Amino acid sequence: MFWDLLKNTFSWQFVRRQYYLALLFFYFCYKIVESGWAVAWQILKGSRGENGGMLEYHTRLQKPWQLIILFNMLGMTPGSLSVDVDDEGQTIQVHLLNLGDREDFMAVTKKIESLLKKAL
Amino acid sequence: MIEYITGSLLVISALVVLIASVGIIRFKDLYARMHVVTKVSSFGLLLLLIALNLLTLKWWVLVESLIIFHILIFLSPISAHVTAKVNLWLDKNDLPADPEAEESSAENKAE
Amino acid sequence: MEAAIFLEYAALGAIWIMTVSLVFPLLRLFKGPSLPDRVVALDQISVIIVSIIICDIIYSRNAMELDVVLIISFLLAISPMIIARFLYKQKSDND
Repeated sequence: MFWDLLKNTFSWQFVRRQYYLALLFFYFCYKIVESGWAVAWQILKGSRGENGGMLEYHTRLQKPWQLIILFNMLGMTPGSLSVDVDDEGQTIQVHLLNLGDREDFMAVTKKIESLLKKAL
Repeated sequence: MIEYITGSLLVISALVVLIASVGIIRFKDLYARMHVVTKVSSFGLLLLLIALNLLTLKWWVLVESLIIFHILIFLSPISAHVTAKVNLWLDKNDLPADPEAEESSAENKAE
Repeated sequence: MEAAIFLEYAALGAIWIMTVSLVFPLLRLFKGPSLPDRVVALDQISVIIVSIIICDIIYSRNAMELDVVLIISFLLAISPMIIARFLYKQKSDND
């Protein structure tokens, strides 16, 4: 009976979704370690945090859960902190520690977004 | 052997926490300080929890430290976001962020 | 050096380093120009207290203190939201 139930409800999409969720979690853990080290190195170099600034990021995510998880993850990736989101849920206001590495931030966020689309 | 690894992890995470508190006093901007609190401190706590799990090797210690780690991951960005949003709102409406100063100035006006 | 003695000295050294690092957020707490600055400093102080308790767990080999860490980390996460809510409500009442 158990095997019949498993055979009827089995789908490859579910397995792929779980795989991408696990991949997202491990990528996130790696990002936490990297961002902690990067900000600590910023302090050790003697930076006083003067060249920071606000930035607006446009997302194309539709479901509210995806938006919430993206919003939380932006707070832990290196050098970015999510401040505000508008009413339609399309524009996120982000504070960057260094405005110079904007390209880096864009690349990391694009990767997180594509993983989220596959996972949820 | 495991004791040596745990001891070195302890000293490294203590140095990371020391770096974080030096950053708190050195940074000028409020948002930059919030970067330090959310990232460097959770990195130090992650190292400490790994050291504790290496030393004890019990399942309930693993479960409790996973709960603490998830609280740190998912709730500290939210609290940083709330603080930053209130600060942005105060800046936009051009209000003083210290209620005591405003009250004392109001009293002075009344006098 | 024997392993257990090394671990004891490492835990004691970590506790001393964290106690010294408690000074800087206290300075920021007294000096901070606005209320959100003080909230951030209090957040850092509670993180340091959590780290000291975990070092004490390793020093005294008593893992039951992990419950204390759980409760303090909950309070750490929730208290800035409450203070921010208080600020928002007070300002909107004045208008």
